Amino acid sequence: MFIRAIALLLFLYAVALGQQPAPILPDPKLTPGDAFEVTVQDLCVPGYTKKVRNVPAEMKREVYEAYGVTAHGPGDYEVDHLIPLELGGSNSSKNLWPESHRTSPWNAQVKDRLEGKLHALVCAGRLDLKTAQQAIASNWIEAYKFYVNPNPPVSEIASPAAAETPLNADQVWVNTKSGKYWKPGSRYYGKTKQGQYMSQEEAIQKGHQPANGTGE
Amino acid sequence: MVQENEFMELNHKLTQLLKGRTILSESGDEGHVAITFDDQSTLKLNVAGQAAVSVGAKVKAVHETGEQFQVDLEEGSSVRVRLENPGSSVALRDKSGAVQYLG
Repeated sequence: MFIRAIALLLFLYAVALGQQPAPILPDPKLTPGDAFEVTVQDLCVPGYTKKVRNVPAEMKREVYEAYGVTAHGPGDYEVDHLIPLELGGSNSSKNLWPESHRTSPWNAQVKDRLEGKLHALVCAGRLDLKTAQQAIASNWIEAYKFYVNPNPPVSEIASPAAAETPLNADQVWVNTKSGKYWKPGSRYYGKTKQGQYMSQEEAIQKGHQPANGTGE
Repeated sequence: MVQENEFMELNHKLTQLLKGRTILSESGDEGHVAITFDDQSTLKLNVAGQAAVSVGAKVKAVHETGEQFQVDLEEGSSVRVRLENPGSSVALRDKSGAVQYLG
């Protein structure tokens, strides 16, 4: 009996080790945030983020390792820029962390909304770039509550199926492989293998172009 | 020490931009290197240590892995540096100051 109980405890311990908790906030020691030496004028040019090098696969592996994420399924996480590229964030390991797509209500999709909002405010001259960088780097959830909505997001977008629903009816669908976007009602709206919903303004700011010249 | 480039990954994006540009001048101080090319573009590097740059040479390719960064020149030599903060230490701007590359 005693041996069985020990065996059960060892099994549960092993299971617990194998199931890493999804980190919701970045570890400030590992990921304090880091930014390039860029100006608002640099950032607010369409296509700016495409000028930044892609994060090398080896660096992504190091980020997962640093956070103790030893195994994960496709779509569980993305290696996120804590200070996003569109706010001048860099590819330094100081700015990268494994961000969950599955947790609720706070997840990668919600942070994307904050990033779009802050970018729009900065480019409109309504928010200082350094302030935006510090806000999202220190606590992105508090920044969301301050700049987007004081209430937690109600949409359950932690599952892949839910993430395939636009947050607003006027959002476009960006084919992230081709860089082209489709407007609501168009043939490939929400239907390409790789893509995501975002506002048309954000799509243009990120350098995406309308499919077939019009997005329709 | 920086390893030979066969152990380093080709930086496609920066190679496409810099290939064929000729180094006009080099400046900098401890921790910083600025290389100006014949089209008046400037490559700024935040480095640990110093770098020896061959003025007049033409860029062939750029390799980068971790903190190791290497610009290969057509004449056969190369500029090798150790980046101070990989992923945040390389910036290329054109003659008007517009961003061409960050990494």
